[in-house]
Amino acid sequence: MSSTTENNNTKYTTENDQITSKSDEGNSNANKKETKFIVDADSIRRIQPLEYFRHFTDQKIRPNGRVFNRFRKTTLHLGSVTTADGSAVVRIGNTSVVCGIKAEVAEPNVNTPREGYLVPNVELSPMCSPNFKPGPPSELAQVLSETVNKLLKSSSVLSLESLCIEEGKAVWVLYCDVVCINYDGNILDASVYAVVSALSNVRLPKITYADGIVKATPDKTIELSLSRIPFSATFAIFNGEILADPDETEEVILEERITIICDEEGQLCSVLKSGGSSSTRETFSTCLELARNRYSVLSTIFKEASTSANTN
Amino acid sequence: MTTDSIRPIDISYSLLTRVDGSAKFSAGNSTVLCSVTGPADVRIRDEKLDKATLDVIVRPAVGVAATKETSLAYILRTTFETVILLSHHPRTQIQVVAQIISDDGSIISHLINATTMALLDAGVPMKAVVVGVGSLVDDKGRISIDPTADEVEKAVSTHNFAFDSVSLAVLYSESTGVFTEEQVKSDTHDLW
Amino acid sequence: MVKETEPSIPEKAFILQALKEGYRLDCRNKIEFRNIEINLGREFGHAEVQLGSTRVFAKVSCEVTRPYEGRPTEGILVLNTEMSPMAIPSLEPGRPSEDEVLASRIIEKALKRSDAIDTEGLCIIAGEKVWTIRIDIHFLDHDGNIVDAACIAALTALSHFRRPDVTVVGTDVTIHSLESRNPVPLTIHHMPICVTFAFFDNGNLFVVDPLHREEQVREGDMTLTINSYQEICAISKAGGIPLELKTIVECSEIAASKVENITALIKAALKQDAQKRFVHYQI
Repeated sequence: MSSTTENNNTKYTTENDQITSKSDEGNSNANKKETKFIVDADSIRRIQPLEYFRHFTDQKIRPNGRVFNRFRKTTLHLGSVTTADGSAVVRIGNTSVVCGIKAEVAEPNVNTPREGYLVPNVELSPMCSPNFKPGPPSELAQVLSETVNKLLKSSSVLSLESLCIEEGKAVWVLYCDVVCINYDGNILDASVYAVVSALSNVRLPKITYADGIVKATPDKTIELSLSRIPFSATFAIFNGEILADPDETEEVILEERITIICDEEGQLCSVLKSGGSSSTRETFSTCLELARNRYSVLSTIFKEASTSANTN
Repeated sequence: MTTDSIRPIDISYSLLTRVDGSAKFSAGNSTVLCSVTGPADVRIRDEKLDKATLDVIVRPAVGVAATKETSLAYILRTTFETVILLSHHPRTQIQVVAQIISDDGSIISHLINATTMALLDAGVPMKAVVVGVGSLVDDKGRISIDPTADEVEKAVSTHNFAFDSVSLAVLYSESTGVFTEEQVKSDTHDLW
Repeated sequence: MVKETEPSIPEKAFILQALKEGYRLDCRNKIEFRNIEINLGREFGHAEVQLGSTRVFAKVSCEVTRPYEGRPTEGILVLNTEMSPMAIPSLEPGRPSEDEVLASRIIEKALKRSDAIDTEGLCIIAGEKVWTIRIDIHFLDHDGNIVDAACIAALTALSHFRRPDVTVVGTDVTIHSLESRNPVPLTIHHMPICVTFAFFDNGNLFVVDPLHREEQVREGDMTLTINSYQEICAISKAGGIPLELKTIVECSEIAASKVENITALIKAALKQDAQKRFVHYQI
């Protein structure tokens, strides 16, 4: 899209000095001020968001003050939702999500008698941003749920057979509900981080099955055996420049995005790229390197959170 | 090692009467029928002042549309929004309906190809032609192109791409499973 | 959102006058069906039917499920119709149109109420496991008379469908893949086929297999569901102008003869497909 809007832009484009002229107002000649049509920075941001953005990126900085490859401050708390069997609260800058995992016992599908169910669901309610309407899940929410589901299933993060209690009779169902509290972009990274962390936080009771009755012990001690711990890193691409961890304002302007999800051994679990064609092979390689760095940061935060959750 | 062969392709145009463009794309046993209507009136809540709204609906062969189809529609929309000259028709809607007739693997790439064909048939102005291709890496590390559903089932990782015909850039890519960066690169013949 | 255009007054007058003189928009006579083309897919239970430029695609699939509580020995037949803006660009997606609901009801009556499919044969273990047969009907292009086209598509797809064979030992059920054992066809008692009439000029004029333009001008319609044994399975006439008894009798005679032709067409398509598969198998 970028190049076509550019063509239409020409009639609006303002020179660099016109933007600065507002701050120079006091010094400039009064007569000159009357004849000159002044557009201040805020109006440009509204009328020509891309052009406004370009002025910043030319100076190697983003309007939110971050340098290109800097992610926002990320925090993680495990086990803070006591009613859930496992939970995680994730904050990436102003984006905050809560993931609660509820375990229930159900009958398995006739065709897969040894497999439990893992049901991820992402909810974007009007509470987290005025852009979301109440009612059935929005397109974005559905796409997120599907992406998380695909990640969990195709990279076999948790083997469904490990959720089997009694073949053909009883299996665990894990409902992984992600609720967004505050939306400020990059919800995918936050959701993946929250779901995976919450899964690691799940403690299930010991269970015995006899004659159609399932009995559970009151204390919950059994951890899930996760085959891998994948974390995600998202980048927005603007004219070949890589902007790590885009916030909401950036997401609206920049449609081209790359998400890389890798595991603790550096293997890739998912690479998603959408909207736009300005990225090259080098862009991909750089993103990969940044994603690996990001993984080690997230992994450190994750380990700290796990230790503090276990000691409490 | 790479298997470069794709299944036999069959394309037919202008099959439907009440839409502006339509195309049926099949590769082996995977078939997609796609229709395009527009530029036409847009609902006020979807109206964009500077460009046309692209609306994509994907319908499954069996059952009703669920999150999987919404996801596919989202991929189609974000991919085609960048190549269709939407700013030529502000305050209108271009509607794409893609009906999966039979799904035998690599369905997203066939959806992309069918949509391209239908957009061409409808005469919607585009910067480039989009071509989609699916591929997978099996347990022996071999790469094969345009896999069937059975092959996808056994795959270690699957990789779907869409390329732009003018710059040959990657417009869309989705890789799932467990894989290495070398595999992604060799998969795309060094375009990435 | 394309807006649907009603035919203009001169257009309406033209269609009516032509009908009075015995002509239709596509040069058919009033009791002639459009050309019916049936295409069967490589997969079992996949049929695409073209009735002139009306196009319908039906897909039959199966699944092992638990039976309904009250009917432990019966399989389940599920019918689902889908109409999208592909067929009618003015359609609001997600909201079924009146046409679609009516069509869906008529086909459901034809297939389920007339016991066309043997559901008891779909039982695997009573009260535990039965086959659920699902028919998805997709309307791809709407140029009038979607009911008849959908009915032909559904019946062809059902006759073409093969479910995997099962063996039951005690309570152990083995489902054999399509490759390992010959799949089993459904038991179809009879083929109820719908024939739709549109009425004009206070019921004095009628045509069979109306076009979309004729449907827009018609004053009433009636769908007769008849099988090849000349038995009427259902008649649906939802509103519209009142009809004289003799008109209905006349219509049913016409319909019965149409049903014979259509049944023969379906059988020919199925036979051709079976031959093709047999040849393929021998190679």
